Formats: sequence, structure tokens, C-alpha cells
Amino acid sequence: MKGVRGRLLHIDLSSGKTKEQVVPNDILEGYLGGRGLGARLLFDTLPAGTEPLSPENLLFFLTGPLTGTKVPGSSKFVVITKSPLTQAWCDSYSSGRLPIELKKLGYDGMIVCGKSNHPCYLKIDDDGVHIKGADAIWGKDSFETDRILKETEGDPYAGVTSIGPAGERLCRFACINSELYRQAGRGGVGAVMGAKNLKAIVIRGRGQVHQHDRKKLVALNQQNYQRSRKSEVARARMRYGTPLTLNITHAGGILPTKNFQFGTWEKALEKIDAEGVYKSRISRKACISCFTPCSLVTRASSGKYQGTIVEGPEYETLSMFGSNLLIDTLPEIIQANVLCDSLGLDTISAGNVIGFAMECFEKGLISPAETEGLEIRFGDGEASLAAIEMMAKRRGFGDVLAEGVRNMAAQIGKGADQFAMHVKGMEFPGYEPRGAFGSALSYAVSPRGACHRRAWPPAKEILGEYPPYTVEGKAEMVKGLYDENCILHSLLVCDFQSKFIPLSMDDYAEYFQAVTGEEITKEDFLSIAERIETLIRMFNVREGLTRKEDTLPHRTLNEPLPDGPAKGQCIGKENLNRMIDEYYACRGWDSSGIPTKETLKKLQLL
Amino acid sequence: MHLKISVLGPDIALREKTDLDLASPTLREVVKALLEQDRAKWERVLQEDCTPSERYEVLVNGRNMKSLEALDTKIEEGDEIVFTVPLVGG
Repeated sequence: MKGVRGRLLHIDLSSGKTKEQVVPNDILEGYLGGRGLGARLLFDTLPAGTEPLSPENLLFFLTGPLTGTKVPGSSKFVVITKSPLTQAWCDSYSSGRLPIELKKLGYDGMIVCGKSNHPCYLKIDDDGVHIKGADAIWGKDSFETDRILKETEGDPYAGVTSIGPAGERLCRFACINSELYRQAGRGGVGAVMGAKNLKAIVIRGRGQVHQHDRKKLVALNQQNYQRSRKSEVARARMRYGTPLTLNITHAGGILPTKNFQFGTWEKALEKIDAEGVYKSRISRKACISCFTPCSLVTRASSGKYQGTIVEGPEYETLSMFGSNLLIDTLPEIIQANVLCDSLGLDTISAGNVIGFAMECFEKGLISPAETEGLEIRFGDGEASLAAIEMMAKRRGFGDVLAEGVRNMAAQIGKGADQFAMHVKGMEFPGYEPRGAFGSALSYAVSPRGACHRRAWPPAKEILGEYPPYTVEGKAEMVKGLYDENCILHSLLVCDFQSKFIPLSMDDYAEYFQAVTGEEITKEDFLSIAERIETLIRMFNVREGLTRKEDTLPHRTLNEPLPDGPAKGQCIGKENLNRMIDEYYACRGWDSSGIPTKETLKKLQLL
Repeated sequence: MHLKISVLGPDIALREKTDLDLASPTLREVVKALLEQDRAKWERVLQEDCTPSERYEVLVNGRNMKSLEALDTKIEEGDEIVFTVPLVGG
């Protein structure tokens, strides 16, 4: 089919050898691309029990069938590997030039394995793959690395993807940066890259991406562009960006506050919410191939960090470095965002880790003697910025922070695990699950740990018809949301257009047909999603994960929320168990969470 | 009665204090009163039949009216009502 080439670029950093790998057509048809293709490849090629930071781990950079076309939001790529944060499946998404250039070179993705003897970077172009020494950039931050490589290679338009010092030092939630402010943020993919001594990838292709019916594609875009301009939702998103989410989560009582102790924070309003960020904007930005720009570029307007510019902060950063740390000064959050992006840290995990450390400090579980003198208190922006530098460079107490909240809690002991806000080792994102029970289920069963990308249950529970504090029907609801996002992440398009233009599965089937020439239906998509999600489950089962890991922190299960609309709510073990039982049943998995033979057969996985 | 009303859409209005001459009204009666008070302001968000315009959701004290009694939801003194586009994620 058009749109995909069925070719992967395989690079072994240990031997320095490269080869092409052919992907059979039935795999492309059965898994589409992106997450789906990665699930099939990782399951088939990564030996069980592989240590994530060993040379044997595999690092996939994958595109989708719509990548490199004018389909809105199609400049995404996914990094797939075994996570050093969770020891489980990991898919982490970003956008930029890398996937487009890969497609122009005639590849659907690349696989990096082995480990280079010395720090290196990859230059990939029509002449082939060149493994080059990275002495001049090792130790540099991602912004500087981007600049130096574009200069060195004499190509300001090349796609550059890199890690910062956090990835080099194997921080377990290090990210991979693209286009300065775009990150494959979650799960520690940057540490896997660092463990391979791979600092960066510079990529440039000169070919074309073939599309079946360009006229139809243009017509679909014209129609959806008009819809977006008439949609109140799209117009709100384009004006305020993701910070508007903060007003909604605050109103619904699910805004993470003080390390997930509370669900609302009045002080956030007009300071670090949609209005606060809007006042600091200096421009707007869209991803490549997107006609609904939703990123605000902001500049710190006052104080010590006045003049600092960032693309963002997005909602997740505002919640994790704002309300979750009781910091209501936007310039400090902008500075935290810039530091995380340049040093190569996931802002969600980093903010969550700092919130956890602040609560440990407040409760007297850690003292300045253990933090190299850092008094890490809620509300202290300077302390949070110092902690970012320490964790990225594993300096002093930063070596503990860089391990993530699960490992920190084990090291600190004294009951700290009761408020270590993670699932499977991955830190919670910016939605308090006690105010939207579907989020609790979604976090618990997520194969990559607490995840906001697989499903957004508040869309149904705060902004829809589902009662938020009940369990009835939540398993089916979460499965439906998972399956739709699975298709978006396998076609590899942005989540947002589907929500705010909105674009339906039928719309994406039209785009798929225009690009590939293949007819597909919504039902086909959803069958494929079921196959992919079950295969990912099988990967985790093979890695030794069980139902025991599909759980939530003590706080979420047992401590009633003390404030806001969801005051008095907690999930409770019984409620969680019921939702999990029902979710497994919806998926065709047994009560231990293992896919049954009948299910595997039905999904053509046997 | 005094209510706190917010609109979260392409133009934000946060927690405007609104006085309405109503006693123990339903949400429908509140919406009707808002339209009567300032039709130009509210016609983008609310329709003549008192339902929210396409793609707006209504939260009463953080709960979607759809999971309460819809437009028959009882409104009390000091309640917070949010008219919002359905946007989450970030």
C-alpha cells in the first residue's frame, strides 16, 4: 500500500553495521504502524528479561502510514523500547522533522541496538548511515546540541533529535528532544539512548512520500479546516492552548495539588491557568502538517527569570510544576520548563518526583543532611529549580531523585511509599483520579504505567454524561477510549484534532484511504486496536508483570480527597478490583489479566 | 440569589458574580434568567430552549449536569456554574 514502504533501517552501534529490514505486508495491514508496529516488533525481537539499560535493549523510532503527508497532526513519531523506569513496555510520543525525513529516505522506522564504544551521533541521509564521534556535544544540553549539529552538518533544516545530560547520566525519566521543545517524554527513553552512548540523530531525506489520492487529501483538509474554524472547541484550543485544561480540572476538582493531596487550588487561577499563560504569550506555533496551532510561546514577564522564553508551558507542566508543588509564579514554571527541556527531563515525572520529595521533607522523612542542604519545601520555586539541575546531573541528592518515586520510596522507607504517586514505577500525570474513577482504572491497567495518553476519562466523567464517582460502565468506557487512541497512535497522528475539530474514526478511515489507497472501516480499526493492546499485554506478561502491578498508590485507594467537588472520594480496593475484573473481561483476558487462548485466536495472535 | 458563573471557551470569563432574582431555581430557570438578563452575551453559549449551544458542557459545582438532573438540577445560593468547551489533555 502507498504511504508505507515496508522497510526499516537497522543500526547496530556495537558493530557499526547497518542493514535494511523488510516488514511483511500482513504485519503492516494488521498493525498499521507506530504503536501497533512497535508492539509486533518488540514482542518478536526483544528477548524476555532484557535489562533496559543494557546494549541488548532495542530502541525503535517509528512512523505511521500517514506520516510525511498533509494529514493534520501527522508529524508525530513514537519511540518504543523496554523502559528503565518501569521495566515494562514503553511507547513515548513526539513530533518534528525526524519522522518526515525518515519517510523521505524511504523508511518507516529505524531500530537502534547495541552500544557504541564512545559517545556518538548518527548522521543519516541519502548517502547512508554515518556513525560520528560526539566528543564535541557530549555533556551539552539539548538546545546547544541542536545548534552545534545543524552548524557542523551545514544543514539548518535537518531533523535533529537528541538527549541532554539527564539521558547521558541515565536518569530513569530522561526524555528525547526534537525541535528544541518537543519531547518523547515518558518512560526514560532518553536513558536508553544514553546507555547506548548515542547523543543525537541528524536526519535528512530528499525523496518523496507517495500518496494514493492527493486530490482527495486536499479536499478532506479543506473541509476539516473549515470545521475547525467554526468549532468553539478548536477556537478555544487555538487561542489558549492546553493551559485551558487547568481551569477545567480545577473546576472538576481533579487538579493535582500538593503531591496529589488536594484536587483544587484557587491560587492557580489567573496566574498559571489559561488567562495567566495567555498574558505571557509572545506567539503561537503549530507542528508541521497541522492547521490548528495550539502551542503558545511565552516569555517570563518579571522577576529573576524575566525574558526567559519557552514553547509552553503545557498543561501537564503547569500542573506538575505549579499546583502540585504549590508554585503560582509563572516565570518560575517557565524556567523549570526550559531547564527540563534543555537538560532532557520529562516534566511530568520531574515535577512529580519533586512533589514527592517536598512531602517527604515536610513530613521529616528526609532532612537537609540527606539533600546536600537543599530545603525542598512546597511553594519554593528556587528549590524546585535546584532539584531539576541535581537530578539531571545525578549530583548529590539528585542521584536519588533521578531514580523516580518508586525507587525513592523504597530507599527512603518509613512509609513513604504510601504517597509515592506512580503506577508500575511511572509517575502520575496531571489528573487526580479520585475525582474521575475512570482515570483510576486507566492508570492502573496502563501497560506503560500512569499514563494520560492512552485515555482521557475526564472527557467522559467531567465533560460527559458518566457520573464521576462510580464504577458502573467504566471498564467499557476506558476500553473504548484506549482503543480509539491506540488507532491514533498507530496511524501516528496527534490526539488533539480528533477531540477538538473533532475528527472521528470514520474521518481517519477517509484519510487512510486517501494516503494508502486501502479501504478500511471504523470496525477494522477497532479490531486492530484490540489486537495491539492484547499483544502489548502479552509483552508485559512475558516480562513478569501480573495483576498485582495493575494497582494504585495507597493515597488514591484509601485517603479521601479533602476538598473540591470530589471531597470525600477515594477509590477503594474493592472498587478498583471490580473495574479491573470488568476491564479484563471486556478485553478477553482471564481474571489474572492473561489473554485467553480464545482471545489470542480471535485476534490472530496465535 | 448570588451565583459564581464562568465561561471557558474562545473567550474566558472567570467566576463572575451574578445576582439573579430567583429562589430555589432549577438550572433551566437560571439559564433562562441569564438569557433574559443579557441575550447578546449568552447566545453564543446558550440556546433559546435553555440547552447549552453545541459542544458546550455545563458543570454545577464541578459535576456535569448530564450526570445530575440535567436542566432540572436544583441550584442553591453560592453555587458555581461553569459553561465549558469539552477540552482536556495537555
